[in-house]
This record gives sequence, structure tokens and C-alpha cells, in this order.
Amino acid sequence: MSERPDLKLSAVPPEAFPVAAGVRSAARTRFEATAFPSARHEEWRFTSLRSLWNTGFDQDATASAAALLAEVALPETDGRRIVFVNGRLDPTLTDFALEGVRMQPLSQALAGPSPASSVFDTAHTFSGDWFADLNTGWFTDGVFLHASRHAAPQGPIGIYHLVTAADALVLPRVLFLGETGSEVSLIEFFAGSDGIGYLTVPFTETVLADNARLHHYRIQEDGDLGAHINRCGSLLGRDADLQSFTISLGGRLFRNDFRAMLNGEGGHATLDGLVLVHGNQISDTHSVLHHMQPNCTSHQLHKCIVDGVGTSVFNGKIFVDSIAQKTDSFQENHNLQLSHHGMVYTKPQLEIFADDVKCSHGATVGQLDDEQMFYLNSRGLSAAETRYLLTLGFASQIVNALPAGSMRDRLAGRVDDYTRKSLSFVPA
Amino acid sequence: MSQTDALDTFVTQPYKYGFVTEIEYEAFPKGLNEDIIRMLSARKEEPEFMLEFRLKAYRHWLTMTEPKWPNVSYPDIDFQDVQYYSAPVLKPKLDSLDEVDPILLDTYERLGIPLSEQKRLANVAVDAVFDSVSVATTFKAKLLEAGVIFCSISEAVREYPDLVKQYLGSVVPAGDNYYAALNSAVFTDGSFVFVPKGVKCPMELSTYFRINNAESGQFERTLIIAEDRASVSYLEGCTAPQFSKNQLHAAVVELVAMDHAEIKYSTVQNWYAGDEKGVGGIYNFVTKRGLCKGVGSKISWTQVETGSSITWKYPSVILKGDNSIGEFYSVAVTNNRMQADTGTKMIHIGKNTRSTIISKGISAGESHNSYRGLVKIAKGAENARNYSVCDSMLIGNRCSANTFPYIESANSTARVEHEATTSKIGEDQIFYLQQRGIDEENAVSLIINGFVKDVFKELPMEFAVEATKLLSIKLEGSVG
Repeated sequence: MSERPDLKLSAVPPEAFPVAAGVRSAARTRFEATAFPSARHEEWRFTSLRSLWNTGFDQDATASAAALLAEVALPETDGRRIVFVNGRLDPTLTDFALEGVRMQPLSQALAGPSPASSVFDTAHTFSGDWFADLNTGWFTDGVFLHASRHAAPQGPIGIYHLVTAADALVLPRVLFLGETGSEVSLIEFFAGSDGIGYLTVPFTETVLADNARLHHYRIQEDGDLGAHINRCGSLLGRDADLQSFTISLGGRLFRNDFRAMLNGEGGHATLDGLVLVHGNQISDTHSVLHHMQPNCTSHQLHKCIVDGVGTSVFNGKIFVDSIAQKTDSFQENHNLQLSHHGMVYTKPQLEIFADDVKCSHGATVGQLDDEQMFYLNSRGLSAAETRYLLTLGFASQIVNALPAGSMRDRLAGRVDDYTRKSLSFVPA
Repeated sequence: MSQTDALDTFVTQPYKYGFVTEIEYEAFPKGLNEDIIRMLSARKEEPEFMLEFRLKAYRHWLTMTEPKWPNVSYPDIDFQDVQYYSAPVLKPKLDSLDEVDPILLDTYERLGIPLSEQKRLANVAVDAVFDSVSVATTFKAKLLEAGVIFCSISEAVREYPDLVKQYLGSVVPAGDNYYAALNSAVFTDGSFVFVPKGVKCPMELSTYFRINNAESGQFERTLIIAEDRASVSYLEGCTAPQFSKNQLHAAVVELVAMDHAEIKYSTVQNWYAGDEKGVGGIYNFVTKRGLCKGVGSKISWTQVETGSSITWKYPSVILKGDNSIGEFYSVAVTNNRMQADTGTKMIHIGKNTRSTIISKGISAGESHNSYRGLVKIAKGAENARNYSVCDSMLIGNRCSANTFPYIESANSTARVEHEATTSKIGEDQIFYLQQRGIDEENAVSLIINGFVKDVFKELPMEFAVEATKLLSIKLEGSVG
């Protein structure tokens, strides 16, 4: 029995992505030399990957995804929609035309020296990571989005990562470059069919030039048996602004690794997240906010609700280099334990090398407040309604921060479903 | 004076306990093997079970590897290059202090710990440990009257073997971790305290550890047992001379509190920390753990860590009894090239258990100061409650302050709160004090004293005075 998944990888044609060939073959070499992560790795202490052991995943597995797309597509993204089906960019479902933002398959963008080739593989620090190297070494194609100087298109771009093939290994790759002064809103939507096992390892890099701004929403509604392990890196220039929200709802195993590097003075990053866990789901969020230059600010609010026998893991790191004086960084993690059998692991972490900084974090683990419940009960609400309202209130701090529209309605609906469903675990 | 200059003068001050006592030694050859352990056990006239305990620990230690996860770096330690036993040549059987070598009495006098009972503050009993052995224990007779046993652990092994056998290794098993296993194999001395049922220990107990020999390591072992409704307060102090060679100090402290018992353990650690280039200093690898075994018991750790070139220490409490309480108050100061990775573990097992963690870190110079803590709520720990605060202050931009708190909760009735901040001394705070007529240096020291106040107020009075002085010495010259 091998303590790792059995991957059937597509052959990488030597002539593909000529300008990235070196980077990709280096990733493949590292990948071959790296052991599959286990609980002995500090980064994987609380999240067991045992369920992936000895399981076969095939990168060439295919199936149609039109029905799933119809189910999840947000109307705001019509006409600016990019669709990956089982890890491959699907030209028939993709429908994209937007002034100020150019979309290209990575195979074209990396065919020769280009804006894409100058930033590809620069916005992350994941080298040596088994999953990141897997994606970098073997992705079949991806998408490059290039927002031109001062472009500010109305409405969000939607990237849909859909998985419909059983036992699929899915390796989508996204590269975003926002030029000086641009402002773009990007929704990445991860969805998969219920009832099929698969492994998806998406890798997204976003590069923000000086003064660029990106609103990055990531919604994870994977199928109930899907395993999703993603990598996301962001490199920010001077006065750049990253607003990132990650909402995790689906999947059997979800691991989100987000690393933002504040590499120019005056940059700002917001990294908010909401995780809803029930049944035997495992949801794990690791983040790094790396302050590399002075006068940057960052803010992180991560909320988890745990029900059933689910597990929620959070590890938020803030690194402040010695040059990064006047950093102001704040991180909060709140966990709501609804069931008696759920597990919560949280580890906020500060590593600070500069003295003139303000850095703080707070973490809490708790339940619904007795006094609040009593108050609502005394106003005539039933126990079930009370729990529902208070749980919704806990989650809505994140949901309400999302821009209005179908995405927020949809999420509010999902949170609503979740909290009602979670009532089934209430002891009588 | 600029702010940095004032800080600098505040932090750099010579180490005043760096002198060496010239005394005749009886020491074992360097190196570690089963023969050395047999020799050690025979030398200490230990019963058979102790030798077995040691050998078992040693054999287990051989299978272990040195932990590399702490956030500290140092060259590999050659465990064969250490003397595992080194003791001043003593007259046999010390019946009274008059028989203690006057050189030793003088040493402790210079350290500010006079051993003659007349000179002591009336309510503190002292066990003085010099390198590998305990050289004197004061007020033994008076304590025995109250039923309290306070003696060196070597003596306890001989005089109270049943108690030692029952409790030794019951909180920190011999194979607990690399350094605990090493200590279990080669520990030479330390203190033993037993407070019987219902007894409130009539005076503060304290142990003063001194490393004098450049070649030896110190492996002390302390065991404190408080039976039902007993209470005791224990203090520990440590110093060492200035050598350019690093010395190893690997201690194990075990506390056991039965029903409604209370143990308060305070440490002011001031081992030699090496010079400003990081040469020399003590490697302080310590395992301290308390077991709240009984219902309603309480264990409180207070530590002021100002010395050692490397500190690796996590005083912990296992809250096994229902309604038991664990507390951890810590100030860790690092300067120059010192590295500290310290914190606590609170393991909640019993129902309605409560714990509080207050940790204050100050880093200056090129030092690294890390807080590492674990709060674990087991499945059965209904209504467990934890509150943690962990604040760091940075002085200069060549040092680092790190926070690694782990929170693991498996019970939905638990409430865990953790908060941490990192900041520097605010210019507005200094400005405020200055315009009230307080000069800059005093303003800085006032702010630092305020920063650590929550911890210092937990120290017994004698120690609080010493700790405040120590802090200003340690930081002299670095704040400003």
C-alpha cells in the first residue's frame, strides 16, 4: 500500500509552453523528489490526507459539464465567463469579451516572451510544495488575464472550475496581471458533481502592479466526495490593494493555502474567509501575509462554523521583514462549535522582525451565547429559530461584506441551508 | 539622548554573577554510557529501582533524536563532551551549616543568597544546589515540625524511596522528550517537597541553582507533591559564571496537586546568556509540568526568563481533576544573540477546568523571542475555559518576536480566547511622560515596568523586587 494517491498524469509535450519549459521541468523534478505530505509535516499536522492514499486519479478523465454550469453560473458574469471543465479550458462554454481585460489561454500567452511570461510563477513561494509542483509541472492549459493600465471594467469576471468526471485529477492554472491603476473584480467558482470522487489542485497567481486593485472572490462548492487542495499566491506592488474573500461550503476535504506578498510600499491586503463544515468534512485554511516593504497594512477575518463530526483548521501567519516598518496588521479568527463531535484547530502565528509595527491577532473558540439565546427565547422564538438566527448572524459578517448581487444572494441562501441543516444535530 | 541610545544604555549591563568559585572537585570523566550511570547511581547510594529508572531512560534516550522544531539555532551538542557528575568535595554528612565549606557559603553570600539561617528573611527556606549536588538545605527541621518534607532529591531517594518511586516520572515520563529522557538518566540533584494533607506550608521554599564548573552540565530534578488541601509556594533562582563555552542545563520539574491542593511555582532564571557576540552561555532545555490530579486543585507557574543563550521551556499544566485551575505568567527578555522559545501547554481533561495564560516577551539586540503555546480541550472537558494574552515588545529592528499559539478544541461547550499583539514603545507614551517632567530613560523604564506588571504582581514579594531590578539591568542601554 502506498501512502499517496496513484496519479495518472498526462504526458507533457516538450514543445508546449516554451518560455515556461524550464520552470515546469524544475517543478517536475522537485515533485518527484518530494514525499507526499503526512501529519509529520507541520503544515499538515491536523489535516489527514489518508483518504487520498491508494486512490487513483486520472488527469485525462472527461465528462460534460454544461448542466453543472447552468446550475452555478451567476448572471453577472454572462459575457465575461471563463470555464474550466475537469481542469481544461473549455472554449465552447467560455464566453468572454471585456474591454480593458485580455484573456488568452496560457498555451498562447506563454508561447514566447510576453507580459505573461515575465510574471508567470513569480507570485508565490510554494516551490517544493508537493501540490504546487504537481500543478506547475503538469497543468495542461490555463488562462492568462491581463488588465491594461487604468482599466476598470464594470461587473465581475467569472472563472468556473467545474469537475464532472469521476476519479478525475484536475489541475487548473490561472494567472492574473493587473497593470498600474487597474481595478478588476474576479470570481473564482469551484463546483463539482456530487457522488463522484476527484482531486482538484487549482493554482492561481495574481500580480498587481503599482496602484492596481483586485477584488478576488473564491467560492468553493465542490461535490460531496471531492477533494480540493488549492494554492493561491499574490504579489502586490506599491499602493496596490487586494481584497480577497474565500467562502468554503462543499467538498469532503478542502485545503486552501493563500499567500500574499506585500512587495511595495503602502500596499494593502484583506484576506477574509468563511468556512462552513458539517458531516465529516475537513476544511483547512492556511494563509501567509508577508510584509516585505514599509507602510503596508493587512487585515484578516476568518470565521468557521463546525457541525457534525467536521474538522476546521486555521493557520494564519503574519511575517514582517525587518525593513517593513510602520506595518499595521490585524488578524482575527473566530470559531463556532455547534456540535459536540466537531474539532477546531487554530493557530494564528506572528513572526516579526521590525520594531515600529502594530501587529495583533485574536482567536476564539466558542458556542452560541446562552444569554443571547435566552433573550431570543424570551421574545417567543423557538430553540430552533434562535439557533438558526444566531448562526446566520455569525456568518453574515462575511457574507454582508460581499458586493450585492446574485453571488451574495446565492451565498446567503447556502448559509441559510447550512444553518437549517445543522439543526438536525441539535441534541433534543 | 535619542530614543535608541537611551534604550541601548538600558539593555547592556555586565552580568554580575559571572565569577567562578575556586573549589576542589570530584568529577566523573567526560562522556555518557551505562557505566557512568551505574557509577552515578552508586556514588549517590541509590536503591536499585533508581538505577533501573535511569538505565531505562538512557536506553530510551539512545533511540530518540534531538528536537529540531523550536525556533532556535545552535551548533550540534556533543553529549560525550560533558561531565555528568561534578561536585565540590564535601565532608561527609552535613549535620549543620557550620560544616558547609566556607568557600561555598561565601559564594552564595556573593550571589545574594546567604545560607545561614539567621541572615535569611525569616520565612524562606533554601535548598542550594551547586553543580551536581545540593550543598545545603535550610530550615529543614522547622519544616518537618509542620510535616513538610523539604530536602534534596538525592536525600529523598534514600530517605523516602516509596514516595519517590510513586511520583517520580508520573508527570514527565522518562521517555517524554529528548531532554527529559537525558535528565531521567543522569539527573544529579534537585529539590524534593512533600506537603501532607491539609498542611499549608509555613514558609516559602526555594532552590538556588548554581553552575560553577565549565565542563559540567547541570541536570536537576525537582518533584513537588501537595496532598489534599495542602498548599505550597516554591521559588527557583539560577545563575552561572561567564565561560566562553556553552554549557548544558537540562532540568525536569514535576508537580502533583491532589484534591483542592495549590502549588505556586516561581522562577527567576538568570543563567549566563553569553556575551554580545553570542559566545558562551547556557543552553537551557527544561521540561516543567504540573498535574492537577485532584478535584479543585490549582497549579500556577510564574517565570521571569532573563538569561540563557538558548531557552527551550514550556511549563505546562494537565488539568485532569474537575474544577481544577492552571495559570501561566511569563516575562521573557532576550537581548544580544539570545534565543528563547518558551510558552506553555494547558491540557484540559476534567470538567469545568479553567486556565489563564499571560505572556510578555521583550526582544532587543539581535535576539529571537518566540512564544509557543498549546491550549487543548479534550472531548470530556465540559465547560472548559481558557483565556490567553500574549504581548511582545520589540526594541530595534534586528531582533524578532514570534508567536505560535496552538488551539485545539474537541468540545463544543469550551470557550477559548486568545489574543496577541506586537508593538514598540509608543512615541506618544514617551512624549506624554516627558511633558509630565519624567526624563526619557525613566519614561522608558516606567513603560516597560507597566508592560510586565501583570506578571510581576504574581511573584512572591522578595522575587518581585529582584525581578524588577533584573529587568532594568538586562534592558539597560537598549531602550530610548
